[in-house]
Amino acid sequence: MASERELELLDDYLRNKLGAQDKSAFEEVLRNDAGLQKEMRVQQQVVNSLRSARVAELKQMLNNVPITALPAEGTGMSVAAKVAAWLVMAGLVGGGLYIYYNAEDESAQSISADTPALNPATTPGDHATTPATENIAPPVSERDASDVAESTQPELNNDSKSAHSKATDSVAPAARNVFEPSEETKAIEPATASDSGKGAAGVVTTPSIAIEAGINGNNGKYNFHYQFKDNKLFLYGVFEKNLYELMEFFSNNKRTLFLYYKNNYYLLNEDDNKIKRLAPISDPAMVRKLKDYRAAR
Amino acid sequence: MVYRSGAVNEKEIFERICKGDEKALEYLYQKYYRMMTKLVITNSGTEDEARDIYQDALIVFWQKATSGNLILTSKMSTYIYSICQNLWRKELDRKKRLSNEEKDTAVTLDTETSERERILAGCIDQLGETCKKVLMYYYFEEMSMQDIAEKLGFANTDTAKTKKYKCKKKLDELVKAQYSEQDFLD
Repeated sequence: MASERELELLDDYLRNKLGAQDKSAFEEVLRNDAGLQKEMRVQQQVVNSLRSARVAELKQMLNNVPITALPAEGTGMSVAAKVAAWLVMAGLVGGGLYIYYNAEDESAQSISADTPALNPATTPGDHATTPATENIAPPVSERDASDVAESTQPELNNDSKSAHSKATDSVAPAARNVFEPSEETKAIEPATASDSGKGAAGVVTTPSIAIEAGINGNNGKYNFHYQFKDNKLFLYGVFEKNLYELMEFFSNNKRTLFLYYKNNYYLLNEDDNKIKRLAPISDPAMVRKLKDYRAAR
Repeated sequence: MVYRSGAVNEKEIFERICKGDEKALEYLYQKYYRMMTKLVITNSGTEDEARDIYQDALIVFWQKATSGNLILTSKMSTYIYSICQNLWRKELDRKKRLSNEEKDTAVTLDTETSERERILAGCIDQLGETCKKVLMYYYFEEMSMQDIAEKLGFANTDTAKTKKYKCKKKLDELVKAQYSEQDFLD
């Protein structure tokens, strides 16, 4: 029968938590103790079983995560066709959003026609950002330009330039920091480098507004609300428990913001400083468009 | 019109992962699903295989992060992608080997091993939910007692330690009782 101390050491040994010296000392004891060897075999099986059970649990959990947009591969579409389809989709969604929120502005009609071609982006650099520390910026700011400059998409530069000088009607998804692990891919998939940038999940980009989330989480009055104040977006409620995303659409120097939170989309009205309740968008067509945009990032 | 999206950043997501936040894991899973599964699908894998490999890779990443054994020097996606590559290469090798071997010798069912596994799984199932979680977080995630205490709402690390000790003892007793019955202890 192994002692408590031996069982503790055995535990650390199986979890690989022993230092080199302690490990070899324990292995020495183990070699000369048949009882301890037997105990180790049992403990090894118990620990392995716990690990397998946890892996199965995690896989089950992941299987229950809704995947909104499955890969388009296997449909027989060529790369060019997929890029074209993406552009059409971007135009349609952009147009729809524009018309939806700027119904009085007829210039939205010509949105997709002038859309510059989207080259597959290759931005292996790390764009990890800290949204909570940034102040509100004009719809397309200097920082946008520098963000864009980091990417290899010349049309995005055009986009930000035109937004700086004068409002345009062009539609282009900007700052699509698409991760393209082309170096890693070469060994196994030489074709991948030319087949990227249309739909692969990208890295998180910086919203142009600072977000203060989870404040006043216990305030009974404002438990799921938002407010624009002092160039910041304040989210009232227990937002720290789940992840949220801010989706920004820029058009004619006007920004339209949506919040994505727990599978729902919320329109954020920036017109005043009032605290407003977050109400999920219920229009299925709008939700579908936002979902597509989010999935295509 | 320009579309941009911002969210909680990489660093924050990684920190949450390190703390064992399953919501952050789900978020990552969804976020990189297309990128990671594409790797397998475009390399002669099926969608099911792609999902399996991606899930396995993400769980490897999760385990390394929660155990504090991961210092990330690249983007999370880069790291997970490389795990996917390795796992898929291994799987392709395994398939190749299998097709070269005699089918009869390839699968030899070890009945004793599967019986042990069945017993062990049954014993784990007999534990209460909290006990299961404590032991899984301790042995799989290799989380610190501090993190386990925070995650499960224990008063402090001592409570977590005591709970772990009692739960493990209970599991050992259940297993040994079953093993004795089956003569698996010799």
